[in-house]
Amino acid sequence: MDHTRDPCPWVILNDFGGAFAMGAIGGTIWHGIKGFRNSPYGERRIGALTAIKMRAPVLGGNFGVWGGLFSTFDCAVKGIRKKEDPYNAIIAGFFTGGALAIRGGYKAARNGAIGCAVLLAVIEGVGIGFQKMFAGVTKLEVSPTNHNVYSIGRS
Amino acid sequence: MMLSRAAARSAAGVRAAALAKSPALAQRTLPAIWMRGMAKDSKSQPSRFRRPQTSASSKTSQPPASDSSNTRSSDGPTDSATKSATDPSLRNEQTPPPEGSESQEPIPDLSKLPDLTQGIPSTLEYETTGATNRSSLAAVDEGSAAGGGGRGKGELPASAYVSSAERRRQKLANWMFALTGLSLVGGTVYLGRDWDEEELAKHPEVPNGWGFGLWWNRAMARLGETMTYYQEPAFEKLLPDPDPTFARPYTLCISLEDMLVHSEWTREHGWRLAKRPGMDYFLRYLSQYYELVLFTTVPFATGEPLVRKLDPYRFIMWPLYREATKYKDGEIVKDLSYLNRDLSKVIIIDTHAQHVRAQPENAIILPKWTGDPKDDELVALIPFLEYIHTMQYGDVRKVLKSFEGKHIPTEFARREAIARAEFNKQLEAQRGKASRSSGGGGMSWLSNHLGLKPSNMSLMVTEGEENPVEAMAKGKMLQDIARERGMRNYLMLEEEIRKNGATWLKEEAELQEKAQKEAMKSMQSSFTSWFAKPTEEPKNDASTTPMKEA
Repeated sequence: MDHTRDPCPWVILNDFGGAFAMGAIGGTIWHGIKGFRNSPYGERRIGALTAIKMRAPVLGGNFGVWGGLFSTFDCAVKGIRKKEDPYNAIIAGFFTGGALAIRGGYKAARNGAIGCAVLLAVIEGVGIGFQKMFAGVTKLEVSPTNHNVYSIGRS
Repeated sequence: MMLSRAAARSAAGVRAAALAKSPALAQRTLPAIWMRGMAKDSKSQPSRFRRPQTSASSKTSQPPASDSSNTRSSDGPTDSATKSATDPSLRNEQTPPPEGSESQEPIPDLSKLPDLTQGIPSTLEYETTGATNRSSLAAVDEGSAAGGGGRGKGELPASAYVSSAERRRQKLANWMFALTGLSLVGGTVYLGRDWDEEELAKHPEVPNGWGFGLWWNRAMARLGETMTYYQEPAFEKLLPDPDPTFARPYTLCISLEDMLVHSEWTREHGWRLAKRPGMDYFLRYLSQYYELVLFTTVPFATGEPLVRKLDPYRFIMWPLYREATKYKDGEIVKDLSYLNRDLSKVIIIDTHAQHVRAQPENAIILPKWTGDPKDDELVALIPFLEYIHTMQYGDVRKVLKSFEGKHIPTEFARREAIARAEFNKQLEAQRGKASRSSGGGGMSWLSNHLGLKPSNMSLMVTEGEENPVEAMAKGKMLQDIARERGMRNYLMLEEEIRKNGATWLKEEAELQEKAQKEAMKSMQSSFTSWFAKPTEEPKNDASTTPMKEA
């Protein structure tokens, strides 16, 4: 019902692209400034450009891999659990963190998985908290605009 | 030993010592020229590390000739092994090498040095060979000592290869772990503290007192209380109190997804929303009998724009979104007990039995509408819902119970047909009796007989309508009269909307815009007052007041 996002198998592609774009744009800003600052006077512009060209796509790729993996796991978890709740994201985060750290061995994978799951739990929790906070806006009050139709046809 | 010390003086000393352990390797890698040069010196020269020794060979005891000849001929590893085995004994007898030997010493075999520009070499190989194993470590030490100092492997324990930054990080991590554990324990203890007066009243089943079990129970009860804040609906009372001027006697809760609309996704078009056939008619017609509440599990942010577009004239009196639902056992539940309405007068129509599991007796479960354009389920439900209003039932739950497990429209039609047959039969009998007696009180007797007292019916005669008693005499049942009136009202409503709908929408848009501007203004003024000097305050007030008047 959430019409801002595509349904499951397709959303992985969306998330991958979105995450890549986010990483690439963020990397452009980050490495642009970094390259600028770390270049000698007279070469600052070319230094910034070189740093961006070298590192922004890499950061984008890293972000993209994370986003794509997370989305894949999220869809898998949704498909298995057949539920839509915050635990989906937490479980998906657990697997993403673990999968990305698996090359470092069992211990690294475990730490990565737990760390990632905790991070996502915090994000989800904050989201729920905010939703709860702003739910006050949806409080229904008697207002005259509600009733212009209701007065018709009543004697 | 002296040899090794001398070797250490040169830059490649350690390397050379390492090579000493494998003369065969050295032999293979040594440049040919070097070999030839050595050959001049002495014919029995298998490796360069015997060079100082052989240069001093005139003074020291000479190794057996057979040895050297062997080396030359075979050039194999077995031979070199025997050589290295003989080495220490030879060296022990050695006197300090002469100066000339040292000038020959520098061996620039750079290909063997670790190239540090590529980073520091991995110690993985070293670790996997069991460096931490004491016995093997001892063996390595011994071997290196015997071989005149090894490559440097095993000279230091494994912990020496952990950088200071890494060690600091480890320490910090340990501190963090300890702190987390401590705060966890502390938090639990704090959560399990004694109740104060009002809390004690709220939790009579979890008493105060000392003891691990009691403490734990209190902690869990407190934690549960915090969690329920996030699982309960946003408000204690979801709807305002019933307004006597606009109130309908009954409340009808409807759902959104797969009841009023159906959304589908295709790769070509993305999300598209279909409106159920007869939806407008359903809402407009029933709005004269029911207080319509849209109770959906869709979040406010998603659902609100949808509902505004779907129902611009606001026939849906109260829209309730995800925020108004309860989260229980991993499922969203529409709990009607928060609705602030008499539950005997509330009907909820839903497509999802799990969503209404708190009050299944109030619910009509419809099959999901999947976008079929010929569907008429929604409209077919209207006679039944109208009938409930017409008969002014005291408790809709009883009515719904009698329809449990049946398809409501067909079952209702069947019952209505039976009732109509009965009614016609009685009417016939009554007519016959009336023609015989020709009395005036016949009709009132009829209505009394059918149990239709005007007081408990919604039949108040309005102008332009025939007297219900007369209408009944013409063979119209009560619901027929109600339906006629309903249709008349509905047509009036349609007419009204056709005439004034556009202006209503315009008015509302203006109103909304005004409210938005107002909100913007107040936000701005509050934002500026946060920083600004007090002199700017009156200016802001002055700018907002004309807005209010406008």
